[in-house]
Amino acid sequence: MTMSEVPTHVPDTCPVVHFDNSRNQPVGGYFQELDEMRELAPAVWNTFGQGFWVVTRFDDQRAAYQDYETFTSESIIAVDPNPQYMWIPTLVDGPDHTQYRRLLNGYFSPANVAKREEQNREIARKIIEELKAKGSCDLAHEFCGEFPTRAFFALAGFDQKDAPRMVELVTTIFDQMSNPDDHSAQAAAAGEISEYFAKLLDDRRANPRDTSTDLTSHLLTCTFNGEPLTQETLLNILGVIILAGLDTMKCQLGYSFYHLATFPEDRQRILDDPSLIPSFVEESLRYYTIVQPARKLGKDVEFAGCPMKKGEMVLLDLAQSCRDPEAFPEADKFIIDRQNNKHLAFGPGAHRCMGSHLARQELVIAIEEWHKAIPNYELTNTEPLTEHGGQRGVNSIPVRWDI
Amino acid sequence: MRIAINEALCSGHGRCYVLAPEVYTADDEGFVVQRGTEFDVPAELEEKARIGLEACPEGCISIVG
Repeated sequence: MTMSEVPTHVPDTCPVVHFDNSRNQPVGGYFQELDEMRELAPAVWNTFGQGFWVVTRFDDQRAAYQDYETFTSESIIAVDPNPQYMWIPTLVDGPDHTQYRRLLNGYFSPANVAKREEQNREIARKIIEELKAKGSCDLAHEFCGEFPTRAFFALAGFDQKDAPRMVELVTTIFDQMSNPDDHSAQAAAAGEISEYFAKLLDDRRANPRDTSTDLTSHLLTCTFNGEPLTQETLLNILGVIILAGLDTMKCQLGYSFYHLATFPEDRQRILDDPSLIPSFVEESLRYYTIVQPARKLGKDVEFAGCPMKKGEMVLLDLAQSCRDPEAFPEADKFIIDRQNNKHLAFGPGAHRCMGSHLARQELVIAIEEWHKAIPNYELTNTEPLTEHGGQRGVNSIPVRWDI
Repeated sequence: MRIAINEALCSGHGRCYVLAPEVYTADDEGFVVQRGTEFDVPAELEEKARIGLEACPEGCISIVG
């Protein structure tokens, strides 16, 4: 696997690691490695790929995310410092970013998402009902993958029949994201996604739909600097929204169900008192944080004790701040009713996950509806369950229940 | 108790108004309405105000008096 030389400006006081984020390993392995790295130092140099900084602690990570002039979003993938694609608003900073976000925030706002609650519950119940009769399933795919995809397609007004293919394409892109050597399949998948949305845009131009329930129609009414959005901008927005909306939820929900399937005493607590589910969700976001954005240095800076140079990448893996014992008492314990849970799972700073309000609603609905229908279930794996890196997720969660 | 909300740092996580809607309010985009302002909190809502403050991922809410 790709390994690079340590640059001469990395001081002897800065630990050097070779952290390969593209492996499969037993569930929890990545979190343990990231915890150990945080204990080494506030900043380390990783020789994986072209080599990059890793800033490991809560206060420093938050300060970095909040300073977009030093820690820019020109690239947000640690091993891909010069992306050959454009994501809007993800890779845009400053006033332009604010303007793009204002076009989108309302569509994904708590008020707009709340209007979809009953529809999303219906979607969840329908999937659970179909699965229930089978007596077993792979939770990771058949529920944790399926439900958020259908809910997201419903919110955006995309056609449900296109969902399976889009899931395949998004998965291809994430699979190669942490591979520093080969992005070929990623480019092909991104191309197919663009073609899909180009057709959808043509359709909505000819047949506009309600802008409060059809994201594409909404975007066609938006302006930037007083002009309608260009075709290229529209494709760059839709392309990143679908990336952000599908695999992230599958992975996050997967860890929540992994926890409930693995620790029956915690499951019993939410069965006995379902009002604990929202705080269970927050703790699950903190304890199993899946997202690991990076930033690209916009200038030279001395940060977390290290001299960082313009153009270098800095990994800000959110699991490291979310499990930092300086920020969270008993950070290594899963505490269902944790108070003051100021976790950073959705990312601090101006790029805070735009779908966070939808994600929180989906997580609560999925766990509530599943446990109303199937409160008792057990794991059936014979080998230890595994997780992947890239965007962390549990590969498979096979369970059974009595019919 | 007097609370201040830093306008530049609020990024719309929404924890404050979800956990303490008696003190904090959401705007149409999901930011807290009171960002960029200082306001007094009545004694009976001080505990609620603190819950919202301590759950803020950005650390943008502070007690100023």
